[in-house]
Amino acid sequence: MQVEKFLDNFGRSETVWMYACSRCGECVDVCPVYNETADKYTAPGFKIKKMRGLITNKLLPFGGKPSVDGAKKIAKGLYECTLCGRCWSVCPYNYDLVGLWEKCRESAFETGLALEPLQQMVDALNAEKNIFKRPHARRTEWAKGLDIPIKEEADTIFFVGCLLSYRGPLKNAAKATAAILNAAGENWTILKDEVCCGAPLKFSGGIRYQEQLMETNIRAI
Amino acid sequence: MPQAKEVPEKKYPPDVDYSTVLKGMNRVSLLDTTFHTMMGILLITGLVIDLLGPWLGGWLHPIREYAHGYIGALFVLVFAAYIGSVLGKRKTRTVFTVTNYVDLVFYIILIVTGVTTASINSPWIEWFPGIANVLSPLVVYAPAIHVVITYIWIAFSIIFPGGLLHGLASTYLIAHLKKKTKIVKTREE
Repeated sequence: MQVEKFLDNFGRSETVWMYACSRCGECVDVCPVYNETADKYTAPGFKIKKMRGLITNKLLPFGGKPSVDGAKKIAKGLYECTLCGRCWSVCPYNYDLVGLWEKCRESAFETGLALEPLQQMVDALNAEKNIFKRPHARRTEWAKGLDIPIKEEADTIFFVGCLLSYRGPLKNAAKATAAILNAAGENWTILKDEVCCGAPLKFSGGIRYQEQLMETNIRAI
Repeated sequence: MPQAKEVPEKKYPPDVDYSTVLKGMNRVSLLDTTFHTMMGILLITGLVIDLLGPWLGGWLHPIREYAHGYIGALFVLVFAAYIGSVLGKRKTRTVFTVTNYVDLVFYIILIVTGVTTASINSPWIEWFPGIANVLSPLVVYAPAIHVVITYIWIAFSIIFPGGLLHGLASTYLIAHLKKKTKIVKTREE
């Protein structure tokens, strides 16, 4: 774990935003996670306060190194956030807080501060290109026996996704969508080699891996 | 058939300029806006008196007496309300840092020395002999302490992320935000 590199991905914009925070505490009052857990590390303003402390320590020549425990607590608070954006909606500065949380999670992920299940998800995506670690070959299994076209060219592509491809009850949603498209007489197809869209990686900070998946899907299209 | 409700589009990334910040600050707390505005005026007029005093000529007296002195007196009242409001709310206590609390201590020192300095010229001070007795030994040193503490506060507030660094960061950000928006638009295109 390279805790000293935590928040090193911050550019001038993020750093200045954190110092510009007016500390009015509006975001604290509206955060649903903080109101439920009462854990300070989930409160948006408190997280900014703690991260600003880390940045200041890095900028000051006599600043100390961040403690592993402190960084872990911040990371835990970052991952408990639902990214609902209520903090952003009440911020008098209109500060893009959702963007900040995503950027922080990216840094936490890269420095090994991400939660254990997220690493397991990355392993699953690397191995089988889906978040459930089910065999990639069985991704289109839901379409067996149905009139599901797989064409080289079509007007519409139905991107099924991991949940609808692998999760039992949700497969019916994929089947129903296919039935609607057929009934509408749409010239459509599913991708021959679809992989995870990468959204779970975007939300968890694994942007690097997400870009690989995106490129695979774009090539398939 | 019910008419479809029009949903206003919310711009992302959000645009920020001085007017949105001021409106936002007012919405959050009028007291906060008043406190910061007065503090800004006092800091600027204080620095003008100290640094440009010899060149101000006839302006020195009105700036010192009205712009710095009387606004300073009002600031003392606003500060009392502000400090009560800040420390009385869980949300502000949650986000306040050690530096912010040290800032408050600096303000208290500045207020005490400011009132002491001004007390020489204020006839009302004689109505309160108790205050006069307490202030009189400080009168000689108060102006010097007032000025020195201001500069210490400026240095402290910039080195550690205090009030002044917050103000500078806000100004920088708002002045540069349009550039950032342009970059994002180009990426989208």
